[in-house]
Amino acid sequence: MSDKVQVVFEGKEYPIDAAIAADDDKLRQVLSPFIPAVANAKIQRSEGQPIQIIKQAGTKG
Amino acid sequence: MTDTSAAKTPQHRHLTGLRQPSTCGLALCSDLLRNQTPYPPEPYDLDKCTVKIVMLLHPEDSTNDDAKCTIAVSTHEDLPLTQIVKRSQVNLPKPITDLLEELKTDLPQREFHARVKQSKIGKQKSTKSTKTNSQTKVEPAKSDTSTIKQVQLF
Repeated sequence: MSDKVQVVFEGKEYPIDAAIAADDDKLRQVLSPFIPAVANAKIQRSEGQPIQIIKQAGTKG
Repeated sequence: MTDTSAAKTPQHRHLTGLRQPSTCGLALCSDLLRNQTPYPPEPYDLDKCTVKIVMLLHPEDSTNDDAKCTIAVSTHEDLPLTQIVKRSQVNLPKPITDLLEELKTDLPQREFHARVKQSKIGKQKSTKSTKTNSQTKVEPAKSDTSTIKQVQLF
């Protein structure tokens, strides 16, 4: 089994492969087919904390 | 007259989010107002819900002797479970290999269309920039004529 990293999205933690989670672009590439909002979401990383994916408010119109 | 025959099948109703043909508009509107999906959510049962599987076949890297493959699976609107494996470990089923072959033959055409699209975008950008440049060039000329007129008046 490969290393997993915890990723938090909308309050729930998900284990994601460390090799994917290490890079923002890879993370977006893998997750956006499941949740399109991830493509424009903010990815927040802080030491010793799970990675936070924060949805950005959509544009009107 | 509207054709309601198309909304009679249960499958169509599911796809379009219509519960009953007679109250279709009302049901759809009320669902949208409540900001919910217009069809009932699928159960959290692997056999009774749609499973989404995404495979990313990464190109061969010069540093690695074997290409990688990312597999991601999920249901509903959740983040997927992921795994990275070597491409040689993955035996793709025939329908997928058939589609890949089809894609391979279609790629030159897709590349051509992508280039045409890119050149159109490039042309649009260049015409926009020339328009703005010409507009900025016109403005000083107007001010020159106004000064000339002023000179002539005095």
